[in-house]
Amino acid sequence: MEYVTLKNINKTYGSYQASTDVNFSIEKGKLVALLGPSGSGKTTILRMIAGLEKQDSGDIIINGQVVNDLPGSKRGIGFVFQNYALFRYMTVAENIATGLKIQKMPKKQIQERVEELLELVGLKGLGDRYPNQLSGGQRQRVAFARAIAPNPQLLLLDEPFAAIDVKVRQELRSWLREMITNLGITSIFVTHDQDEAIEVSDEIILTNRGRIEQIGTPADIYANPQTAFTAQFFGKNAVLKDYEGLRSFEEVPDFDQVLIRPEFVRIYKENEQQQFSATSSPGKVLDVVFRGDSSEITVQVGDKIIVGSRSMGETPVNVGENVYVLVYRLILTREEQVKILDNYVLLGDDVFM
Amino acid sequence: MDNTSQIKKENRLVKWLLIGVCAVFLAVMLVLPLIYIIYTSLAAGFQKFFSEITDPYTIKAMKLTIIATVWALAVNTIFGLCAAWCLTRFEFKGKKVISALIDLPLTISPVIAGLVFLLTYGRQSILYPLLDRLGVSIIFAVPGVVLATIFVTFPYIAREVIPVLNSLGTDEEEAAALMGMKGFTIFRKITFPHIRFAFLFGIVLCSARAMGEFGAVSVLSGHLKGLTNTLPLHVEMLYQGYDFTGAFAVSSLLILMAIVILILRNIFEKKDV
Repeated sequence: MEYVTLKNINKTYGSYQASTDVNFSIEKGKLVALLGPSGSGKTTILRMIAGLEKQDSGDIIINGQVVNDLPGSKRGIGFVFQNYALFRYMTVAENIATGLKIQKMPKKQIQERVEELLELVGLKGLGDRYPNQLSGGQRQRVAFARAIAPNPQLLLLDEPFAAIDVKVRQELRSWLREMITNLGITSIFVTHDQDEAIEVSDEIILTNRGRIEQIGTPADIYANPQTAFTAQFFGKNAVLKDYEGLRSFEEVPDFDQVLIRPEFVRIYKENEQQQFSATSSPGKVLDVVFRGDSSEITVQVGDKIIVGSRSMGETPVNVGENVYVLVYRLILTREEQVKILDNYVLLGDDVFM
Repeated sequence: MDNTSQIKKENRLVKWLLIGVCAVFLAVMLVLPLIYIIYTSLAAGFQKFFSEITDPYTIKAMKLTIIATVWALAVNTIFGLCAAWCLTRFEFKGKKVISALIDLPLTISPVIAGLVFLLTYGRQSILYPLLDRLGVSIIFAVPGVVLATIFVTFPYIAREVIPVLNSLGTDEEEAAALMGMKGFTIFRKITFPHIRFAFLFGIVLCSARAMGEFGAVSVLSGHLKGLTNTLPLHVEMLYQGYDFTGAFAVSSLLILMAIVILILRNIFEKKDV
C-alpha cells in the first residue's frame, strides 16, 4: 500500500528550479533514501513533505489524504534535522517530552513515554543532561527519540549521519536501520552518500538537478542504471572513449562514453590460471594503491586506463608488471541513455564476484 | 639559547612599554578627571554635596532622566526585537534599507537629530496645527525629551540581537513548529533563551546611552528648569551658572549610574560565555 505519494511537484526559489515534475510513491513501512549530489533538490523534497516548504504546484498525499494545505504539525510526521536541532536550553527529557506536552498528554504518561524512549535509544539515565553535554552520536539518538515520541506514521531524516565522525557513523547506520525496521515506521532519509543509501535503504530515489533520475532497490539501481547520470553516480567508474581492444563485446555503433566499474574487472598475473583466457587482454600495471582489505590496481590496456582490484589473499602485483585484464561488463552511455554490454563469452555466468 | 633569551628580554620590554602607554593614557583621560570631579564635588564638604544632590531641581531632573530611559527601554525593546526578528527571519523587499536605517542614529549627530524633530513637530511644521488642536505639545516639553531619547537609543537592542539570531538559524524553531508549537510560544520557549544575554546587554547599552544623552535632548527640551531638564542638561546649566560644586556633585550621580551599568554589563558578559 502506498503511504506517501508526490504528484507532479514543482518548486522554484526565485529563478532557481529546485524541483521539476517530481513523482514518486513510497510503500508503507519502507525505508527509502533520497539520494543525490548536493544541490540536486533532495532536501527540498523532504522539506515539502514535512510542510516546511510549500510546492508551487502538484500534490503531496500522505495516507490517502492530500496534505497540501495542512501544516507540518498536522501531517503525522517526525523530523530529524541534519544538525539535530535539539532545544539547547532544555534537558534531554524535556526535548523528548515537548511534542507530547503540546498534544496535551497527561503528565504521568509523558514521563513513562520519555523513560521508554530513553531506554529504547540506549540513553537511560541521561534524561537530565543538556544536549551540549552529549556526544554527536548521543545527540542523534535524542533527536530520533524526540521525532518518534508522538508516534508519527512517517519519519523524515535530513542527512542523519552527516555530522557524525566516520567510526560512529557506521555503528549508527546499523542502529538506525534496526530501529526503524523494528518500529515498522515508513521513513525517508536524505543523503548524498551512495554507500549509505545502498547499505541502509530498502529503496533509493535518485535525484539530479531537481528531477528524479531513477527509483529502485539498491541492488537494482546499482546493477541496472537506466540513465547516464545513474550509471556515473554509482560505483568508481573508469571512463573511456571506446572499448576497442577489449575482447568479446558486441559492436555498438553509437555512444558517447564507456564506463567500467572495478567490480566488473578481473586482473590476472601472467602465470595465473584463467578460465577464459581467450577473452582477456594483456596490460601493464601503472599503479597499485593499498586499500587495506584489497589493492586498487590501475592497468594500461592498449591506450586505455582501467581500474580493478585484487584482494589481500591473492599474490600481489607490482607496478610495471604485465598482467591480463578480463572485463565482464561495460556500461555505454549516449546522452541520457544507458546500454549495458555484457561480455558474451561469460554471459550466463555470475558476473558479481 | 642566547638568542631566545634576547628575544624574551625584548618582548618583556615591549610588553611593559605598551602597558605603560595604556596606563598613562587611561590616567590622563579617565582617572584624573574622575578623581577631580569627585574631589571638586566634595571640596565644599559633604553637607554641600548632599544639599546639591537633594536639591528639588536635581531630583526633578533625575526623575525625568529615569522616565525618558524607561520609555526608551520599553519602546526599543519592542521595536528592537521586532526589527531583529523581521530582518533575520523574513525575506522581503527593502530589507537592506531598513537594516541601514536602524543604524542611522549611530551615525547621525544627535544635535541634528534634535533639529530634525524640531522641524517636524515645531511651530513651523505643517503638523503643528493638528498637534496644537489635539493639545499635544512635543517641542520644549517632556514628550520631546522622550522622543529624542528613543531616537538616539533605538539601534542598540536590535544590533545586539540580530547577530545572535542570524547565527542561531531556524532549525530549532522549525522543529518546534513541526511539533505543533505556536508562533509566540516558539519565540518565548525556544528562541528567547538563546538571545536573552544579547538582549540584556542591549538593554544595558540602551539605558547607558539614554541616561547620558545630551545633544538631541538639549535641542528639544528648551531647558525649562524643573520641567524638561534631564540630569546631563541640569549639569550643564549648573556649570554655566558658575556653580561648579553643584555641577560636579550632580555629575557624580551620573557617574555612579554609569558604574552600576558597567558592573551589570560585566556580569552579563561573564554569564554569556
